[in-house]
Parts: sequence; C-alpha cells; structure tokens
Amino acid sequence: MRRFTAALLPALLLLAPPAFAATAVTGTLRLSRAARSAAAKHGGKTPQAGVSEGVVWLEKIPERVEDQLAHPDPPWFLFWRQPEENPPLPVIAQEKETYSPRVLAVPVGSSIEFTNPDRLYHSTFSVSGAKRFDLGKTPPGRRDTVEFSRPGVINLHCEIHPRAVGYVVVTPNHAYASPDRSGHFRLPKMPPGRYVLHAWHPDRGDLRLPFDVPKRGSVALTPTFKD
Amino acid sequence: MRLGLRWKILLLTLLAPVTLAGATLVLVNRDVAEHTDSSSLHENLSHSAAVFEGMLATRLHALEGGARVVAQDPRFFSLLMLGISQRDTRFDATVRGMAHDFNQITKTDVFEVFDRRGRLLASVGESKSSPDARAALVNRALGGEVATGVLAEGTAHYQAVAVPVHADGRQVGVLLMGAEIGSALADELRTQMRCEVSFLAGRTITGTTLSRAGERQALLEELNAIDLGPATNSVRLGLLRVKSDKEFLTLVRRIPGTSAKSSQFYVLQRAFDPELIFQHTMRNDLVALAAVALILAIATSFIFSEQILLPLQKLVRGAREMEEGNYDHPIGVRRDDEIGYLADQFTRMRAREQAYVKSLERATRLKSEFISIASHELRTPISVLAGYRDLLAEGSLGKLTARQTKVVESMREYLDRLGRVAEDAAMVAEMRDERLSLDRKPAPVAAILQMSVDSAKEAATGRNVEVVTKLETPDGIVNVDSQALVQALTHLITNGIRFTPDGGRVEVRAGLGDGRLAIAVSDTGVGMEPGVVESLRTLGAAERDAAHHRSAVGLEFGSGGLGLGFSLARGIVSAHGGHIEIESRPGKGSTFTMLLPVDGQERAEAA
Repeated sequence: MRRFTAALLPALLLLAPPAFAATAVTGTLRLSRAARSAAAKHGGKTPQAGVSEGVVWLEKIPERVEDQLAHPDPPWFLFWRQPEENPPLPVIAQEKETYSPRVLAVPVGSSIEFTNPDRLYHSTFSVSGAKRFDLGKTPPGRRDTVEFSRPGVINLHCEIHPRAVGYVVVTPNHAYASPDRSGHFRLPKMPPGRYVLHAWHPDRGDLRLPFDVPKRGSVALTPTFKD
Repeated sequence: MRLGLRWKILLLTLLAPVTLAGATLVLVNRDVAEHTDSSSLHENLSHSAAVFEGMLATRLHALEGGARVVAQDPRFFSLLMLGISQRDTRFDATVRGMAHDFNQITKTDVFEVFDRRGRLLASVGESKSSPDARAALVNRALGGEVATGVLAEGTAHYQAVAVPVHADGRQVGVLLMGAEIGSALADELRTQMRCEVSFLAGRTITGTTLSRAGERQALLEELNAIDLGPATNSVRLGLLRVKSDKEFLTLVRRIPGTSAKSSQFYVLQRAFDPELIFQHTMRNDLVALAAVALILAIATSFIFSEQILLPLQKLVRGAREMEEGNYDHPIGVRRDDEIGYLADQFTRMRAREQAYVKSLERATRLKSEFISIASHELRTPISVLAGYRDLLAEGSLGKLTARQTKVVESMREYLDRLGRVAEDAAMVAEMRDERLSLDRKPAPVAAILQMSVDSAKEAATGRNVEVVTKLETPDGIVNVDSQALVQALTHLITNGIRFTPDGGRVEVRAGLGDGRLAIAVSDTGVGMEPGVVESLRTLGAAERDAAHHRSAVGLEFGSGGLGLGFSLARGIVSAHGGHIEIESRPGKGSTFTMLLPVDGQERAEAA
C-alpha cells in the first residue's frame, strides 16, 4: 500500500495546486530555558511536566490552506465517502473537580460539548473576552453545547469548585497542534512564506515566534518560554 | 445635768438603732466610695482597652476570613485570571461590578482589587486607600502572604487585610479589604463598655462618641500636654474635668497593628457620673431610711416610755401632794402589772401615813396645849405664893426668926426660878402656836450682850466659869426684839456654863457683817456626841433619859433643865428670820452661833 502511494505521489504532485508544494512545520515546545538545556543533553527526549497542556498554532495562514484544512478532501481512494454531516463534537467533562481535558484547542467556529458525568453538581462559566458564557449549575448527566466563534484563550471556571480551572484555546485557524509529553508537535504543512508561531501554555502564558518556511527542506522550531 | 426618766429611756432605746443606722451609713458609704474610686475605674478602663483590642483582633480576623473567602471565589478570581489578551473592552467595568457585588456581601469600608502586578483594578468601598498608605500591605500580599495592618488615611484609620488571590496554582492579584476604625466602632464599643471612645490620627480626632464640643476640646487640650511620640504605647491620664459637670478618667493607647511612626491612638474615657449618681442615690436612700428608722425609733421609745412613765408620774404627783399634806389626791393607776401593784401599795401606805401623821399632830397639839395651859395655870399660884412670901419677908404676918428669914429668902430664889420656867414654857407654847409677836426696836448689840451675860452670871452664882465677851463691832445697833434676844442668848450662855466644868471658860463674840448679826457662844465644856447635835438640829431639843434627869437650883455642872432653853432660843432666832448653827466635839466644847439678818439701814443710822 505504501509503495503504491509512493509511486503515485509524483503524479499527484503534478496534479495538485501549488499549495501542495509545502513543508511540514515541526518543533519542540520548551517550558523554560533550563528545560531546553536539559533536553539538549538527553537528545530532546526528556519529558517535560505539563508541556502537553500547551497549544501551538500559526497566527495567520493563507485562506486557501485554511479551506483545505477545514474541509479536507477525503483521500481519492475513499471518494465515495461523503463528509460527515454532524461529526462528533469535542467534549469537556467535569469530573472530580477538574475539567477533563484541562486544555482543549479547537479552531474558531467550533462547538464544544460540556458534560457532567459526575455525581455532583457543577457549573461552568467564562468571563474571557473571546467568549463569555455561563452554563449555570449543571446537574449530573447534563450536556451543554457552546460554540466558540472568536479566537482566544477562554478560561473555564466552576463556581462550585474553585480549583477546577479549564482552558479552551480557540485558534484562528486549523493550523494548530498540541505537543506530546516531550513537547514535540507537528503542524500542517505550509506553503513557503513568513509565519508567526503562537505558543500558549496555561502556566507560562503566550509566546510568539516568527519563522520562515523555505521552499525546500523542513522547519524545526524550538519555542521556549522565558523563565 | 439631771435627766428625767423619760429622757433616759429615750436615749437608751435610741442608742442601738441610731448606732446601727450610723454604722450602716458609714460602712455602706465607704464601700460605695471604694467601689467608685478611681483605681477601680482605671482597672475598668484597662479592661475596656483589652476588650477593645480584642474586638479589633476579632474584627481583623473576621475581615481576613472574609477576604480569604472572597479571594477563593471563582466568580472573583476568574476575572483576575484573565491575561491582557483575554480581556474585552468592558473588562474594567466588569471587575468593578464584580467587586461591588462582593462588597454588597462583605460590606467593608475599603474594597480594592489589584492585579498580579499591584495595579489597582477596582475600588468599590465607601472609602479609598491612598497608594502610600497601602503600599506596604499590598506589596506583602504580592509576595504571597496575607498582610494585616492599619491604614492611616490622614484623618481616618482602617483595619486592613491584603490577601493574595491564587487561581490554578498561581497568584493572579491582591484583594485589599479595610474596615474603618471610626464612629461606628466607637459607638459599638461605648454600648458595650460604657466608655467614651475617641480615635486619633496625630492630634486630630477622627471618630469619637463624645457628643459635646466642650468635651472634645478638653480632650484635645489634655492630649496636647502629653508626649505621643513613637515610644509611647499607652498613657494613663488622671482626672479630666470637663468644665461644668463631667469628670473623666482617660486612657490613651496606640491602636494595635499601627506602626510606631504613625501617631494613631485610641482614647478611652470613663465618665465618673454613673458611679457618682449611684453613690448619691445610695447615700440619699440610706439617709432617708435612717430618718425613717429614727422617727420610728423615737415614736416607739416614746410610746414605750409613756407606758412606764404615765403611771409613775401619777404616783409622783400623788407623792408631792402627800408632801404638801394632801393625802386624798387620786392616783388613778389601774393596772395588773408591777406598776399597778406599786400604785396600790402606795395608796395603802399613804392611808397609813395619813393616820399616823394625824395622830402625831393631835399629840403635838395636845402637848402644846398642855404646856400653854400649864404655864398659865402655874403663873397664878406662883404669884400668890410670891405674894405670901413677900408678906412673910416683910414681917407683916409676924416677926420671923433669923432662920425663918433665911428660908423665906431661899423660897424667893426658887419662886423666881419657877416663874422663869413658867414664862419660858408659855413662850415656847406661843412659838409652837406661832403666836409669838416680836417687839422690834433699835438696840445696841453691846447692851444685848451685856444684859445676857449679867443675867447668866447671876444664875451661875457659885460656879467658877469665866465668861468673856468680845465685840467685833462695838458700836453696832440692830433692830430686834432685844428682850427676846437677850432671853435667847442668856439660855445659850447658861447652857454653856452648865456644861463647862469649873475653871472653864465661855466666850461670847458678836459681830455685824454682810447684813447679818452673828453671836457665837463657845464653851470649853464637855461637848456633844454627833447624834445629840443632829437631834438638836432637827428636833430643837436633845433627847434625854427622863429617869436620869438631874435637876438643880443653880447651874451646877452637868445638870439639866427642862430642855426648853435651846428650843426657846431657836424659836426666837427663827422669829427674827435667822438660825442657829451648832459645832461640837465631845470633850472639847461646843459653839452655838446665832445668825440673824439685820436691816442695813439700821446700821447706817447707828453709824
């Protein structure tokens, strides 16, 4: 199968629009300089506590690319498949006085389902500028859907449980990614040009990193939060 | 001073209640005074100060608790969690609204919210803190600790607490809450502690319960006089007298939690008046009680004494009447108790006394009548006897022999003596019947003395007793019945001769002075026993044993007469308004002194 695809690739590249002449953007998110130097020693495989709660995205990408990412064509060999009308929504559940997941990144315009699978009452509200909402007291089993139409970081609070804090990161586009436990992330391929990588972490805040995508070669970024 | 029975009873019955009332008054007064003295009030003030500082601590604790609760509320810290990029245009208004909502619950005077860099986001309390005043507290809170203290805002103080606001593991801001230390607290404290409370910033009163400007002014003047420097923590002032009617004990203390540099003090003042009013009321009540008790005691003791006294007074009146000879005065005491018995006995005794006195009077009257009649009856036969004797002596009844003549001559002597006795007895009877009348004429004292001595000497023929006269005032003339006085004096002299052994001496001295004539007859005779002197003084005659009576013609030593002599002399002197004094010692002799009042005018004439 792989071989077959590899054989087809040049043909596809010819057929595809110039957008496909793009480069993958990868990198490692570092929470501090110390983490970075420690990582350098161990070949970049050192786990970083909590780094996976970070989110990285590109501030601005060409609309064409965005369209592609928002409405990905099904692979040609699955052409008979129609895109799903109502794909399942991402879910944030309130369990054990926490939000699960604690950080959820969604592209702008997405909806999230807030559920209470717990046996306790909860509540969810936000006072963030990007989205103000208040679900009020939510009894066990309740499901609410909230649409996020503006990009930004939205803090989620439970009125009943002060320690329960969650974050919804509404990215301006679909070019976003969540690092793994070591901080590695991979963003969609981008056509050459100048971009700004935006990294955000609940404990470290925001970080902007401009970079260029060359016509050839790859991009590996190491966004690092200041100490 | 002699006290009647009534006053004695009154005094005795009053003594106990009055002493008790007095002692109670003194003791209670002392106790009340001790209770209200300044030291206990000082203690009270210190206690109040402790309570106040306890209140402040409690309040601060409550404030801190409130601040902590607010800081942990997601509705509160969710806004502070927002980074710059998460805020919208309404952010500031939202924070203010949220803070306002929270302060509706906490109701603190200062409610200020700061972001994680210490910038003020909202201040929604009635008061605002100034950056300088709050800087220390806020900075400590930014460092992550809960900071408490007192904000000094020029003319106001606030107990304040700055609490760091944490969310999702990091500090997102600071909440500053403050409660004013001012009039409201002062009023509360005053209600609880009965103290006037004032708060001072420097020397400015920022809140006080003193209602009158005069009191505030007096306090400020007092404070100006003392040192409120950084080293001063507590100053106890003495009595602060506000112009007219109020006195305060004053305690000045630094407000706990304030720095030494800032002069923030509170003043507790304890007015004296409640204690004084209490003391006055107490005293007045006691005095009123004592007065009532006294009146009651007087009334009861009066009734009590009257119960005893009334019948006694009736008895006394009866006794007085009896003394004056009225034996029939009604006693009018009819009781069954001891006094009734006494009254009955008194009445019975009075009846017996009356009967006895009547019998005595009768006996005396009979005796007097007998003497009077006897003397009169004797005089006639004596005259007749004297007439016959004269006839015999003249020889008209025949010539007498020499021996007969001698007998007749002797008869004359005895007849004279008998006549004198009869005369004396008649005179005594006259005096007893108060029938003696004086024939007062001016007469020289010397003549009276001479006549008396001559007469006495004549009677004392054959006795070897020297009679000496001494005139202290030789030319005195007195207005007296000289004949009677001579008679009286003669009796005293003859008595003196009679009781003086031969070789003795009787001295008669007379003197005028102080409106009185004094004639003293002293002898060197046998004297008299005190009992005899006493009976002479009271009865006017010496008690004698009739069985051993020894009569004599002349004045033989130790012989007795009829006993009329002294009685007669006393009667005559009494008729002149005078009396006789007797001094006597057995074996040494006696002195009888006649003392007669004489008219000064007579002496002037004589001079």
